[in-house]
Amino acid sequence: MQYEILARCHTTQARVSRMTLAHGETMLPTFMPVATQAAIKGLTPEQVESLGVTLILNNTYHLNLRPGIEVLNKTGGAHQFQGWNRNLLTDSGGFQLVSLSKFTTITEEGALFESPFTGESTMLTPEESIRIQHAIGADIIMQLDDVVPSLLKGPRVEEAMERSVRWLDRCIEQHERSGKQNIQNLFAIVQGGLDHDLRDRCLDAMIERKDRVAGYAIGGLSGGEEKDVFWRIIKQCAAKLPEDRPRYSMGVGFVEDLLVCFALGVDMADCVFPTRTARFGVALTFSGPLNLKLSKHAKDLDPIDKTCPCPTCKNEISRAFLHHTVTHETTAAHALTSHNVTFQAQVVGQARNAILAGEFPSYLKKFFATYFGEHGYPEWVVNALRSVNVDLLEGNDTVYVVRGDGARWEYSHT
Amino acid sequence: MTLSFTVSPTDSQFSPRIGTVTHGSIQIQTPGIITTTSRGVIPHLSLDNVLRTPSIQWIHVPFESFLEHSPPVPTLLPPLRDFLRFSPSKHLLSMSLRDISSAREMPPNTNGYVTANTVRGVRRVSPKDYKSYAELCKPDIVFALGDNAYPSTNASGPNAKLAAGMSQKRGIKSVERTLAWLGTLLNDQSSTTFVSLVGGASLPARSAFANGLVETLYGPEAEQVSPLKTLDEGVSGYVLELVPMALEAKATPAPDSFISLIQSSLGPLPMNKPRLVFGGSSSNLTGNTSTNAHLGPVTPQTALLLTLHCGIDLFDSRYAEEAASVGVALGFRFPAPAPTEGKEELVLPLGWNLYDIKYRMDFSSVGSSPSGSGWGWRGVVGTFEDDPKVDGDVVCLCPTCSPLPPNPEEVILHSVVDSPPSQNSNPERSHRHRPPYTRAYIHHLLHTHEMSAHALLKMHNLHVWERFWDGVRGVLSDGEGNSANVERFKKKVERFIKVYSDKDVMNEAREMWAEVEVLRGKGRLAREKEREVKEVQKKAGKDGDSEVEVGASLEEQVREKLETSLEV
Repeated sequence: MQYEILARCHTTQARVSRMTLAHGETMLPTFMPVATQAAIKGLTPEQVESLGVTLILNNTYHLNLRPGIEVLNKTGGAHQFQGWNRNLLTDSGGFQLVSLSKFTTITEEGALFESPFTGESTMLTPEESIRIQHAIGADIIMQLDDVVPSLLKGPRVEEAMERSVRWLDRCIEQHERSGKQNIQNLFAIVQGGLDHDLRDRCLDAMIERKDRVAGYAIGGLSGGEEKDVFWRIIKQCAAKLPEDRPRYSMGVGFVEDLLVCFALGVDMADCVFPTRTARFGVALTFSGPLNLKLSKHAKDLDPIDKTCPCPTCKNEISRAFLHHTVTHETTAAHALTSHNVTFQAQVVGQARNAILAGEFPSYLKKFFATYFGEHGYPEWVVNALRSVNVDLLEGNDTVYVVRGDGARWEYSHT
Repeated sequence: MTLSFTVSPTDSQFSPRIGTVTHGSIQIQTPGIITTTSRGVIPHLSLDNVLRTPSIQWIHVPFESFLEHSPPVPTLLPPLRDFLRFSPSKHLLSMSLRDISSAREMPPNTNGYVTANTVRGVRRVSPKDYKSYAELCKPDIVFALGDNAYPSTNASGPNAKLAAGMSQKRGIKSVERTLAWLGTLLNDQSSTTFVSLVGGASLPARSAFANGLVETLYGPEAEQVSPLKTLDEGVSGYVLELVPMALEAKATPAPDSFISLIQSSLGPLPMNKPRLVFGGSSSNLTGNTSTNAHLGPVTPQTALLLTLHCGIDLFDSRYAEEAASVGVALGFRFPAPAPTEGKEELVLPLGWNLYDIKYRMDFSSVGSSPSGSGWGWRGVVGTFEDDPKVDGDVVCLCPTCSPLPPNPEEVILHSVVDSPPSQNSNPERSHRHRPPYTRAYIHHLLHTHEMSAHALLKMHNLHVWERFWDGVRGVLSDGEGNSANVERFKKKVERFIKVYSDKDVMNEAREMWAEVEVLRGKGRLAREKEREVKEVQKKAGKDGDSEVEVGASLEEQVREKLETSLEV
């Protein structure tokens, strides 16, 4: 991997960088759409590529079950299998073991789980996770970490953090033995729950191994913790992680979370939210989400966003027509998925432009004024950005601040 | 813009013929295809993929789903084409009130209105309403209202059982109504009008209707359509709906009955207007599909026979489209491929059910034939270096078999430091096209219920369907004179029907689709595995080989077995 920082924000911790991998360049900060089963829901790889997406995510747990490593080996990896010519990232499979599988037991050796095929006990070791990810062949692969629920407290969190460090070593060994470290890049995952001391210890241990890892992820978040805690952990990790490695915040997809993370120094994020919400009929826009199932859109002849470059908006498909087809025809899901993936890429692309131009703080102010406007600014967003010297409320007497997560949503009663 | 149709001279009224439908810059060669829509969209294809599929030229839109709102929303932003966002330079748009493929039982029509179906219930549409929708929506072609009365709906009360078929009285009523409604539509109207040739499964009713079209009008009827002397003068094309014929002619085997019914309709009518056939859909099929198969989509075999015996010019594409919906990749060609010298006559499948486990490791184009046999379709670029060469297969230029990288100018750049993808990042690749999407990938997408499986299959199937008709046109235009061409075409039709087995690959796929649906949810992989093992054991038993190891190489063994049994 070549990693080059092109510009730094003079106020916040945000930066623009170029990450060059085996399948081309990806400009950071970026948002990665999720292709769990080797497909962005409903779109062909050509469509995804034409949206300007240069890095997507596949899930190791799912691809290992179907199509299976035998198929992937035979076709030469997941790129060839799904016809995707740009960069690809795979997770380690650990998260799904915990979230999807019954009776997963973590031992020092690995994660013992019940195979969904046979019901037999199967062990996923760090070495095996790396072997599977080698067969998949993604440009970025993740270490197997010991995942505990974000809200968990007590000694198990410390144990998981320490084990994640030990497992990182085993992943590094396995990765280096394979001789694939020039093609595939291993990222470490910082754990330690919501405890700043544990996070600090984890950061120290993982940064010690910097020469043998290509980048760092911040794991164990986006699991229902309070936003006010979330951003403080992100800030702590991003601030301490080495300058010359990309930083990846796992499972972050709401635009407000993305922009806060970038301001705190994060470079990459992924989430199923934009594509999943599309299938439920929601279009994301700069002035908040639009729930196209609502009858108030039935006669609205405007496109979702006249300025959006996505094929749905560029072809001027009206909100009314989307309302007519949404949840009845799969093409509505395709159209909204195209739009939402483009929207996320536009928000982060414009953030890159603003950072390059030295105008990131004013971009943040402008974005949030449009996005939250009269709905009020979430307090945690205001606080998080204040911590990096951007005051969203400065010179703006009309907005108010709301407590809680403050996620914008279009419900049927609005 | 007006629609014009030129057609080659033929010896007889019902001879197969070649022609061209022209509308502005759009030229559609006939015999050719029509793509149908559901709720105004071509199922599974987002608009950008519609534009990537050149075989989509004539798009037909049933209007009824828009009746959910009053006034119908497309009338707020006319014309309909702008609402649906189809391309004025690429797409010809026709519109009917009802979904022509549907055999759904509906409340009866009256003289004053037709009943239409929406997800919010039945709507009554008067001929005047329909005329106003058509005037606002300005489709390139409007299909006049037809009173297609189905036996089950026109008979009610104590006499229902007696009226097993359509009564003669009802038949007359249907003919009269449709003629009257056509008169209303043609009154002071400028749009291009096609009419559905009604009369159900009754030969006399059908020819009565056709005669009614060409009869010189008198009195108020003549005034209504003045300056036209006959209704037919205002009609630019004829629509033949197979569902009403099939519903009434339940006992008669299709497609022979279709041939005589269509001939009786076309008999009295001039030859210079396009003749369209719309078949049914698989949603009409319930229970034993072998007895009501004629309510399903028009198969390639039926379409060939109707072309040969009735001189049909355009067919709907539902067969190809529904194949894509259930996971079938089509692979047939016209004329049917010739057998290798000295070999036995071929028996070929119309398509492949990609749900089948045997495609798990099949990295060939979705329409390709087994190595070296040369009767299928393949992408421009060979799949993978180590894949056996698929000699002789015809190149399929659909976006599934021969994907093109996105045009660099069309790739969205989100920031000033983004750069468009370089076209040849891989110097070893000299082709403009990318390797095909493989059967293994589509198999995977089907089993994971990923929607892109159907998008990819649909683009391919529509291409195969259009190329099939291209083959038909080729045979009909070889230029030895009409009767020689027809004779040769007839032989090739007979051979096609012989070569392409009538084994219902669609049915098998539909069942497997339903099974995946049932298996979904927690514990699904275990349930699937169990079934796969059972299937393997069953097949192994049949082969007299009981020592199949159920282990890691299980699928390999299945595949080998199936491959050897597939070889022709």
